[in-house]
Amino acid sequence: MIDLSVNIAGVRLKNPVLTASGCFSYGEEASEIYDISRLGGIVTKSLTYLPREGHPPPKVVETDSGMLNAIGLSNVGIDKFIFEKLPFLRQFDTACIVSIAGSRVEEYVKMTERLAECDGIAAIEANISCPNVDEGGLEFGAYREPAGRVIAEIKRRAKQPVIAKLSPNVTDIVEIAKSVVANGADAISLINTLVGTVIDIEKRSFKLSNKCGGLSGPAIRPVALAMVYKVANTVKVPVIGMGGIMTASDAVQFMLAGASAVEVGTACFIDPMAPLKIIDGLRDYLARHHEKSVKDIIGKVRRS
Amino acid sequence: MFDAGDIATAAKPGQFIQVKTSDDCFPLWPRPFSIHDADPVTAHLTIMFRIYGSGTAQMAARRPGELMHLFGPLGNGFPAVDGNLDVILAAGGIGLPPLYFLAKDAVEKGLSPHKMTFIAGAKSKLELLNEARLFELGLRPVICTDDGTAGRRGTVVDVLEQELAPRQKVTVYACGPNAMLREVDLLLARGNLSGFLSLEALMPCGYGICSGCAVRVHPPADRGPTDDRCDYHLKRVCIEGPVFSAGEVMWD
Ligand SMILES: Cc1cc2nc3c(=O)[nH]c(=O)nc-3n(C[C@H](O)[C@H](O)[C@H](O)COP(=O)(O)OP(=O)(O)OC[C@H]3O[C@@H](n4cnc5c(N)ncnc54)[C@H](O)[C@@H]3O)c2cc1C
Ligand SMILES: Cc1cc2nc3c(=O)[nH]c(=O)nc-3n(C[C@H](O)[C@H](O)[C@H](O)COP(=O)(O)O)c2cc1C
Ligand code: FES
Repeated sequence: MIDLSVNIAGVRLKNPVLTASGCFSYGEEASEIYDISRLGGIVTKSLTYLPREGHPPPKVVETDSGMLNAIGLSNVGIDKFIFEKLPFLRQFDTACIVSIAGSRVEEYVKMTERLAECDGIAAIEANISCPNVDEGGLEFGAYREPAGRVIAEIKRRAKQPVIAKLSPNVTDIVEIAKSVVANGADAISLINTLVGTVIDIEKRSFKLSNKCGGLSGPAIRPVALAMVYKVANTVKVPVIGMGGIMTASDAVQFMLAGASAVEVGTACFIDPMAPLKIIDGLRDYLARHHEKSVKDIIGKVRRS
Repeated sequence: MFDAGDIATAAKPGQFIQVKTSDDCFPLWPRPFSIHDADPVTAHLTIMFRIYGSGTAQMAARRPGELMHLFGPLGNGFPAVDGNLDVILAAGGIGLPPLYFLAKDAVEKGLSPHKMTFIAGAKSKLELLNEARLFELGLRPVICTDDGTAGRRGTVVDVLEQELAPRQKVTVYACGPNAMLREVDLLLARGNLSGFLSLEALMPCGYGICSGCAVRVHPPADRGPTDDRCDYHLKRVCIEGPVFSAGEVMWD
């Protein structure tokens, strides 16, 4: 028997494969296709305090080996999540990680307080790649100080472990990682999407209504992998890696680089069964390398 | 035509499938195609497509016997045709495949083909999709082309307007480019008529998890406060559509 379970900040995951925020909605659609209890965990679409419609179309565009999205945080809001989506998710034997986003520190705080009263939440993932209206729209995650501050405020109220999800759109992601850990983050997940855009040369206009969007998919994998490697080498907390993971071999790369678990995003669009195929492929890889536990490959890339 | 197993058994008119021709990352997303015909007995499923870009070009290059990833059936589909009302099916270009399936389904359920007016239009004769199959169903389709190279000269919307004029109680089922559907919707609103429109959108996932395909619709009256205070509500074309009621969509 190969042991696929891992531990993230005191949360036991039956396997290290989770679905990434914004790439799984709240689980209902996928649950019609397969038993989502087979997943190590799921991360919900990022919630805001009030519901958000999001940007008008066009919201997505395909790029070479990737895609850009400007969804604009369409979500049902914290209340509807707690009353309608969470009871649904509780039926499944998989770690439910709730992603929260805000445009002010107090929004993150209010949501954390609401979630503290709820059962069935394994952890909170704080999406700090959002514009902070109190600081001129600069992303919380863009600088050490605001990133640390918002995590500290969430951590003070949280009853569940807090995972800080980092933005790759920074000068030095390791500095941000150190700051959120110093402020209490129990784990780190990375990377969120890279800012990018596409221009239609005939119409001379942007292809996204919001002009710019977030790049995801295979195109970002090497960037994500390097960032995961650097961060996992620096911080003591567990790291969850993501960015362009399409297959089990991609997932293995992230784990060898130091990730204790992985999130699968864009791949869920292309093939709904991708997360399950990755779990199976991971088991095959371990068998082929005579490993008894997936924990034994975490961070095991040769350094010299 | 695909050997499509359960997809063919479950398929309803107006639903679609996502097709991924290769495991490559280019193009990355699967492509949506309306179900043109499905035979629950043989499990054969037919789609009909035009070559636009890399996805459809790749598909056209595949040979009989090769495997492709199919996913579906997806989407809400058309409500069944109500035999008590006059019915007009308006197909522009690649809007024909799902409306053929709808008409065939209605005929199989006992509706006389003469109860349905089928308008099949395209830019020119070369772009008209296989309208012969419509005659096989017993329909007498009204063919039209923008340039007059086949059938009446005029757009589907022009012909629809002519066909609507003498009628009072009628339901319109329309599928085609969104620009055409917008015109159809305005026409129906003017005549206070009911209808159903099958929309097109870019579809990264096709099953409701990404929100990439969303279109603007009028917000429900009981929508509470929202964070972004927009005047629209968004619906996902892949799962809350692709069929929308006339008057539902907020056009640009
Ligand atoms: C629910 C649904 C059902 C559909 N059913 C059918 C069907 O039955 N038969 C069929 O042929 N197509 C159908 N389509 C459209 C089909 O999905 C697209 O034609 C296809 O995705 C194009 O892929 P591509 O890679 O070839 O082109 P891309 O590389 O994606 O596009 C190439 C160029 O063509 C343009 N283009 C792409 N699609 C269209 C289009 N539909 N109309 C006008 N310009 C376009 C693009 O803007 C771009 O400039 C359907 C779409 C939806 C949403
Ligand atoms: C359509 C879409 C929506 C996303 N929404 C969110 C979100 O709400 N919150 C968040 O933290 N990340 C969001 N992400 C980012 C993903 O969770 C992930 O970090 C990123 O896409 C990289 O992984 P991937 O290449 O596997 O998709 C979204 C990504 C996509 C493609
Ligand atoms: S295509 Fe992903 S939600 Fe519709």
